[in-house]
Amino acid sequence: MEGSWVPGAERARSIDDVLALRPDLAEPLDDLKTKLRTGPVDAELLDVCEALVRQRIGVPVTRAVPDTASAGLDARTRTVLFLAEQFVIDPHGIDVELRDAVLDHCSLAELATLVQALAVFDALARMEAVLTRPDEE
Amino acid sequence: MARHPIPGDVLEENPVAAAAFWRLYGTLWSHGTVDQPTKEVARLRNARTTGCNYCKAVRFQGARDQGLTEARVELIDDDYATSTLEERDKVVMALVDTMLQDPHHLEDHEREALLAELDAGQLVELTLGIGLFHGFSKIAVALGPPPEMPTMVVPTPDWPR
Repeated sequence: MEGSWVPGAERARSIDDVLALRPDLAEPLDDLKTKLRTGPVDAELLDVCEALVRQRIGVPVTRAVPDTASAGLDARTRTVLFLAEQFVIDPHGIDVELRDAVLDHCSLAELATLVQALAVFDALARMEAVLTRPDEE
Repeated sequence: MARHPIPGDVLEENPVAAAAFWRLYGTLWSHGTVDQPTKEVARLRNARTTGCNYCKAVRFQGARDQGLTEARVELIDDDYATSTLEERDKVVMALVDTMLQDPHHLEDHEREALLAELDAGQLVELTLGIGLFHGFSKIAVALGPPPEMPTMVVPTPDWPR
């Protein structure tokens, strides 16, 4: 993030810098993110999901995003990334077959964690995109 | 027929995260600085755009108590820009549409209109709210789209007791 148009956050380098304008919201949001990352889904998988969500929404990512069709991915990671991609693009495209495929590899607790994490990643990426200072060309 | 049925309260399968979400959501709705009708207009615009039947049916009591009528809610459709809704509602719905469809392309006049209606902290609250409304309505759709249902007034989210 290279600055925001929100007054008081003109020099923001991340959405956290913008959220710092509202510590009453930033604190419970940080707590939610922590609780998701220390839950039943490994942090590495959540990191890859976050990178994919951010890439699809078009905000900067700090790690490579694997191709969801890559043969190098294990079946669990590939299925979860496909879920993440559909979640960003159009959740109506997530059908019973995909839900069953995810649950072939994940428990209900993992699914609950994954979808909440995807919702938060999606929310913060869209927030970052809309609040970033526009290019002055 | 699903091989793995998903219970309606599946988010409670991770009760620690669910409690953390409700604390955040309760803070945003009941302890924020943006009036509840403004947030409800944004939530319902998202609900109708995202196509979440449950989110479309729900009305939060606090927004009703603060004056958001069903007649005003009826105008939250694709013709809102030319409706009799107040300018603030139209500005907020345009922000929702931009965040959902193309969040990189908020127009200069839309930024100016938002800054005329909301202070910096309120902009943070409203954009975080829209992001959460969108993300969590997507969960409802992704886990098995709920059927259409009648309008129902429910308590405004608040901190868990």
